[in-house]
Amino acid sequence: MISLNSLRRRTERLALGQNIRFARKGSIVSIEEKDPLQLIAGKRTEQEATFISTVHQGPERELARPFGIPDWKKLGILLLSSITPILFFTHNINLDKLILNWKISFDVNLVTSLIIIVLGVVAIVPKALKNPMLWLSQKTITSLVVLLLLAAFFLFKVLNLGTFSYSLDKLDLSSGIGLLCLGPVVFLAFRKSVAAVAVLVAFFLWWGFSIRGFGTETVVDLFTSENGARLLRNLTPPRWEYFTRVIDPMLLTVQTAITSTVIGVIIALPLSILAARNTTPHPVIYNVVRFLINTIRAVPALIWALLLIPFVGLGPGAGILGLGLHSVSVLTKLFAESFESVKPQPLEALNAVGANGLKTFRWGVFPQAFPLVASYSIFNWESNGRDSTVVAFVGGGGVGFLLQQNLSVLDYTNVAVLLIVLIITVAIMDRFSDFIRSRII
Amino acid sequence: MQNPNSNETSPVLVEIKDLRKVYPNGYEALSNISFTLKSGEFVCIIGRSGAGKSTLLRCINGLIPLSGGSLRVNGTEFTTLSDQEKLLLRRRIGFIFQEFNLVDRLTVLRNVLIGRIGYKNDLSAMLGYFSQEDREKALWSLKRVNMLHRAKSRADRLSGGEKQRVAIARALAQEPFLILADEPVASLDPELTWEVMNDLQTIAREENVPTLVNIHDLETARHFADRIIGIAKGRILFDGPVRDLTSDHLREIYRSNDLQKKSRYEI
Ligand SMILES: Nc1ncnc2c1ncn2[C@@H]1O[C@H](COP(=O)(O)OP(=O)(O)OP(=O)(O)O)[C@@H](O)[C@H]1O
Ligand SMILES: [Mg+2]
Repeated sequence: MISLNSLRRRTERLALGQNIRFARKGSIVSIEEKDPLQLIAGKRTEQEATFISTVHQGPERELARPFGIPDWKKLGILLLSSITPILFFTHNINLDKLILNWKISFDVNLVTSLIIIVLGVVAIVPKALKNPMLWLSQKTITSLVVLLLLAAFFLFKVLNLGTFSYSLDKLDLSSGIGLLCLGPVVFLAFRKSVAAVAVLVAFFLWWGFSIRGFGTETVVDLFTSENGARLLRNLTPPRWEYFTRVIDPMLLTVQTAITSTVIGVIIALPLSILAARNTTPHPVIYNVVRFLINTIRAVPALIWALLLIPFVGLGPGAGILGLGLHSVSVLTKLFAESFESVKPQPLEALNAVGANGLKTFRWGVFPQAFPLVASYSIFNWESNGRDSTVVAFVGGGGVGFLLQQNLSVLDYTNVAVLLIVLIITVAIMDRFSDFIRSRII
Repeated sequence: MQNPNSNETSPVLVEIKDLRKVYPNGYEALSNISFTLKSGEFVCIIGRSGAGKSTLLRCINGLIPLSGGSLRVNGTEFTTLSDQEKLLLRRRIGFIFQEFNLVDRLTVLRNVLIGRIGYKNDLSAMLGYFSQEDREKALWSLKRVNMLHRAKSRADRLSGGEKQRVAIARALAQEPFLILADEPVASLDPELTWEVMNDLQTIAREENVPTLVNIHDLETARHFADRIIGIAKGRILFDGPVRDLTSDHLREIYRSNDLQKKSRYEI
């Protein structure tokens, strides 16, 4: 606390027009006389001076310091709990491997239906217990019915998901204990400590770069080794006679992009209405669609194409469907997000003129979300153009197929032509989509 | 400025009895609200911020459910209607918002046509098909508020006053038998305030539509209203013609919760 006396002294000095600097603890450290102009700039009123001296005692004192008040105890814990894992991970402290011979196995159908029921109960019962009226509401009943049906679907093995099994023979004790030592850091990170989050990110990146077979030498090799130079020599000069045979496949690539995007947009539009929080008819439907979409998106387009080959045969069909499926999942999510971001006031107005959900969507949500929907669709077309090369590796047709053919026989002069065509095509598509976007918005 | 149309014999259009509204968080925003509206009446609701004016309007057109009491609109008990029937009734109640609530990216005409949407079936609403009759109605509504020349421009290109006039046209296109306006002039300058209030009053007179306006500016309310309803803390403290409104009433309506503080009407 500052004594009343010192406070009075300070105000007197202020009245004299002297510039006063306050130290961290709020007591006076130095009184400097400067040139008159500075004196006026630095002058504090009596009230302000009193306020500043109290602020350094009050709960806001942290805010007045440039770096806040460091919590040494926390930093100590952080330092300790990040050094020990380093010692373990680098095997500076080496522990044996632990022989475990654990075997975990369970019936997936049973467990899935149990999880569905538990999640449903957790979502519905506590709310309904608070407000018994909810038991009778249509929402609760529909949710319950849908949940029970889903659970029954898995329980009665309509789709047999088999038995899950996992065996853990050995445990690397060093890594395990190292991970355990990170516990306090994780705890601190959840308590919103920025330093702890930084430490975690650092460990994560370190782990990422610890792949065997990749290091700085890989990058250096690329530029210094004999092979790298030879690759460049082989690519030039491009065999331009090949160009005539590339035009049709290139057009096929663009067509593939168009078809798959159209499939994506047509299916994604209705799905995204169900998957947006403000337009979905029911929260359970929202969750089911989101789950479905996330499942589809987790599998890359190339894998979908491979999976579809047995059904539609080899050829561009599999590639288009694979890309289309992937577009559906990506676009549904993006569309749904653009629906969720519209301004709510016009929707209120639609509600007030007596529009039902469908009409509110068509005249309130959609017009507002349209620029986003359009530009996401065009962007998807562009990215499908790029991805169709990869998908054509398996499907046949398109530039990708030719690339794969020539790469497998090491015909690099042809590959060079293909790459140039590809780059130009993608650049043209990029310009074109920019043009359309500028027209729409 | 008494309304020549509204007298003792005019039919009662809205009848509210013991209306109560308790928000889900347990806050009682309205209690014991009872009044009636006759056709062609232009009524202003005054009261401090938080008194429950917006809540009352929202209850009347069913945007939020009541917690008790009865609400008869045009002889129909609102509270017993199904959701579907509520939509049908609501399409005939115009609602005007402080923030206009137009769809920015649509043209003025489309925005006014939205007022017709309650009359359309789902399919034509989806396809965006509006019949010639709908369009004529919308254009006429725009003409009424002098906005016909802007019918083709996008709603976000308009000034605040123009937006509110378009919103009024949207309400008119609904062929309303009741218009509710929640602080329609709060974001407009004094000149536009006058014009918009004039529009609303003219419409109430000519179409015989009772109009309920929430308003903060007392002078404007006094000038335009046939009748004033004063609300404080969710209760009606005054309900009567403008000339009966005394400074005692105003002191009561605008009294601060803080007893130390003097209201500007307590001088
Ligand atoms: N959704 C809600 N949940 C809980 N309380 C609410 C809700 N909406 C409004 N309230 C409360 O109800 C009271 C009345 O609100 P209302 O918006 O009707 O006031 P108002 O008279 O329109 O005020 P203003 O003049 O500022 O618009 C306020 O105290 C407000 O905090
Ligand atoms: Mg309000």
